[in-house]
Amino acid sequence: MFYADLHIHSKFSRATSKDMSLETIDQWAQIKGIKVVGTGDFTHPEWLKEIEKKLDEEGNGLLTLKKQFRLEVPESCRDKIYFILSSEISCIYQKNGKLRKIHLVVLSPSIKDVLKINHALSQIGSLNADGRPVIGLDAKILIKIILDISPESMIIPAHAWTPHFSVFGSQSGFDSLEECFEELTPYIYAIETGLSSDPPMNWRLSELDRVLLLSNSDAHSPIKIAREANIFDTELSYKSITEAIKTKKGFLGTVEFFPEEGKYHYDGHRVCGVRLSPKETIKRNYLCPVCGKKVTVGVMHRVELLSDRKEGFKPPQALPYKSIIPLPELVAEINNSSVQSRKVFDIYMKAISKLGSEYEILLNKKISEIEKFDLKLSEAIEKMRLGKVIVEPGYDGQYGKIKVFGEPEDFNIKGQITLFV
Amino acid sequence: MNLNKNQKIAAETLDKYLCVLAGPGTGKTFTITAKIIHLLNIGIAPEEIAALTFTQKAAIEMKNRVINSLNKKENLPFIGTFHLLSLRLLREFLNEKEKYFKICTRTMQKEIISNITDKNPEKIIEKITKFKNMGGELDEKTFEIYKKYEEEKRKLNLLDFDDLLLKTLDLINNKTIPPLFSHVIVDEFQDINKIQYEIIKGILKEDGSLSVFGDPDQAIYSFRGSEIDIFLNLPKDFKNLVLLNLSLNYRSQANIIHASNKFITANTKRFSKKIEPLKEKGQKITLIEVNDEYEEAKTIIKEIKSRLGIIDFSETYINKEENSYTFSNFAVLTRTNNQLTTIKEFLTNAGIPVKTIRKDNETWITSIIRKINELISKEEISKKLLQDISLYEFLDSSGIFKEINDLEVMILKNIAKSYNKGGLLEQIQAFIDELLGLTPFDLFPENLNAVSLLTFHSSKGLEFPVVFIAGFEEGLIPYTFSSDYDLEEERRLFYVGMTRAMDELIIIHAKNRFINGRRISLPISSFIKEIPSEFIEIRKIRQKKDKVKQRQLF
Repeated sequence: MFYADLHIHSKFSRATSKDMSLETIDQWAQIKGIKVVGTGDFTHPEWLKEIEKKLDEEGNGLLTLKKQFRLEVPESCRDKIYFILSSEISCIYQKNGKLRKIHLVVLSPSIKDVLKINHALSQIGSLNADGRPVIGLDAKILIKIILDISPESMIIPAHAWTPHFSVFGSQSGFDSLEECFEELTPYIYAIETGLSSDPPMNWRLSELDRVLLLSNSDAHSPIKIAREANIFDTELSYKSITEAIKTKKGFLGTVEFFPEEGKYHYDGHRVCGVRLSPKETIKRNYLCPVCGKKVTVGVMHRVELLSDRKEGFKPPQALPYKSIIPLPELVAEINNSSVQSRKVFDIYMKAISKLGSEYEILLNKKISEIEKFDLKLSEAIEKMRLGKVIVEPGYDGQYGKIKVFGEPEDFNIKGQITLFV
Repeated sequence: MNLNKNQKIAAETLDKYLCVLAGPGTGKTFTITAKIIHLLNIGIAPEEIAALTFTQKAAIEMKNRVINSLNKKENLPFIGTFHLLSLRLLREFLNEKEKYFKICTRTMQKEIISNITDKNPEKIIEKITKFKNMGGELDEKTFEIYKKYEEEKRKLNLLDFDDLLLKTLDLINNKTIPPLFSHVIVDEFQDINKIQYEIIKGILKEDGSLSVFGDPDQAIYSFRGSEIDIFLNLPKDFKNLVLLNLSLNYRSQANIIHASNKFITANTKRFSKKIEPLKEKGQKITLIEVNDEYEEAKTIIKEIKSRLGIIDFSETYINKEENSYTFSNFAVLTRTNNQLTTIKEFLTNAGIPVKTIRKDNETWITSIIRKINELISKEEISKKLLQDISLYEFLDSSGIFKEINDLEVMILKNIAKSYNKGGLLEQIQAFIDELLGLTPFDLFPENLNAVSLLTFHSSKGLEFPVVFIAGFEEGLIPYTFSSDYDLEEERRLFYVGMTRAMDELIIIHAKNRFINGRRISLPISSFIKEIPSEFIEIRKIRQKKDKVKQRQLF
């Protein structure tokens, strides 16, 4: 059994940390406790050069970091990390009279395949400007092009519900997979649920019974790696991983964010400080009570609109999932410090060195053992595992807030216009 | 779509000499196609009809429309460029010794010239072309080179593109080529040169009819020897000429039409024509002043982005109204090619896909031809060459389409479509002839979803919802740096640029820019005075301030 995070970004993508190098990704994958991590950005020529230089192809469709590049990692979580060639492409195009912006994750079995894909894409758009290149192609055509030249590659709609860049997004998405991918829909074996939605929300669409629900971090900095991930029980190979995605055999489930913590769970206007629940949005005719413009419709609202089942429905084939709060956030709450502070980082690294990788601590370690390290932390993790958390939903690009201790009203620091129903 | 009143008259009249004044966006191609179909429908034999176009792209478009409308691929009239017509005629009417000539491509021209002289072959070719087409005199040295060049071609049995037309005219003049067509239709007549004009008259049967379509206000190829006077003298040349005006513009919103109509009246060498907008008034023409070419490029990016909403994650915090535009709805037009370099660089870096006119068309074409040659030299295929197999099916089953990208496949397929009769070898030869005539302009990837970066010259015939005209400065627009500067042609160029816009026209001028190795300040174009101010809205760009702190109440 192993954890895999298939979608991250390198330092060559916009708005990412310059620490996103192969060395650091390898290091943090170990700290986080996953076995397989996406390379991200294989469409970017410079990043691909680094991949070719620093990674070895293992012959099973996965790659590993050459020994001389490996960075120091606490012994408690030291492990050999396998990279899977992955990238994300931003398709921006017009279809049925509307502007569409769809992000797609691409997994590929070899550098040879990647070179062919990059060659084809470089004829259509520029791959140099952004690790997540903008291609003016219909998402369906893109799939056709990629699968024609690399049949073993796999295409997965990224963060399927995000308002701005996804297949179901409220701003520039579609109302169904069919509408977007048409006759190529059968080649969509999985969708990424994104941070702001969890499996139960996706279970409400019978259309999605067929596809696998994947969870990846889409990390832009090392510490965000594995904030969501997938649990596989297969051999370590490209073929086994993609087969598991296609057949659901050997796929055990996902590790999830609490969806409320995601940036687009609710509706609202970040600039105006207005957060609305879906019902409230409808009541207000989709207009912001502060500026009068249309609000950004979030993930929950879209699920509500597109679903054909009641809340709480669980299809028979539904896979289990575990919801987590990133360990740095728990440490920050306990210590009443900011997540980015030195103090939190030091305690975090101490916990890792003593107890094992972050996933080990959050998901597996006995509470009694965590107790020996820090009583408060063990309480926090116990609450988290039981789902006893207090959340304030995110909206319009603003992360939600999540706590394990205290009361909900603790969030309402002066003056915020929150409109709950 | 139905023909409007004047389009219908133009399509159906059988007047001996018809001249249709068709301004931008008035449905010229549509009307010409309707005319071809009409002629066929009333029983005119296809071989009696010739429709001559300026580009192969236009020819392909018309051919496809005729094919779709008549629902047949065979027995079509000639629809193609002057070069293609000449090629076909020469292959038919030249004597046995000469008729298997090869086309001397630009690359071959350069090779031959380079073997004769060390001078820049491009410039020599330009001079020779001008000399062959327009007469005049060559300086002694160039004349020597010219003679050797012609000699070399004769030895190798090569004809360059100028020869095709000249040779055809020779054969017409010595009665080898008889008048062949009773209905000749000419598109883009304003861009015709004398030789082409003589060819038209030579191939037209005595009792035949000639219909020319065009717009003298869009004549922009005088540097290639085309002469607007040919168009303007038509009424003198043909006493019983019927003049018809397609006046309804389907393309642009009213402000753009009114402004461009008024603007072009500053010219004297023209026919007065009427253009009325079908669309309501939209926004006024926007005029923006920027500091330099960098700010110009940034302004273009900003304007594109504000119409597309966010295009990457780094901007998600701004809540923008989105509309239904996409990249291919935008074009940036300039007077000179150089200006596009900076703009291309900036847009690409901003993650905005762009497309330009590719200049390596010949490399591409020769590589395709090489592939075809390799294919037909295979033994199992050479047996088929004399059989009657449709070229299209042959190419399709050969796998040749798999090795090139989608866009190129589309062009090839479109051209190959009309080859389906006769021996395969003959078809292949004709197909290669046609491929060699493809210009960079024909290969412009119109369907690619990317922002078009074009010069006024190369924007001809295209249309875009949002058009930027960059470098609106005296010196560039009109381009007074050129030695044979012609104000009226410059005005026509700008007119062509303006009339590409459907919804929005945004004109940008910079206070200073880098030209010919120096940073210089140019005043705003004098053309501004010729556009009535009621159609213009001046927009200042605000100096960059730190982003206003977002209002966050928590």
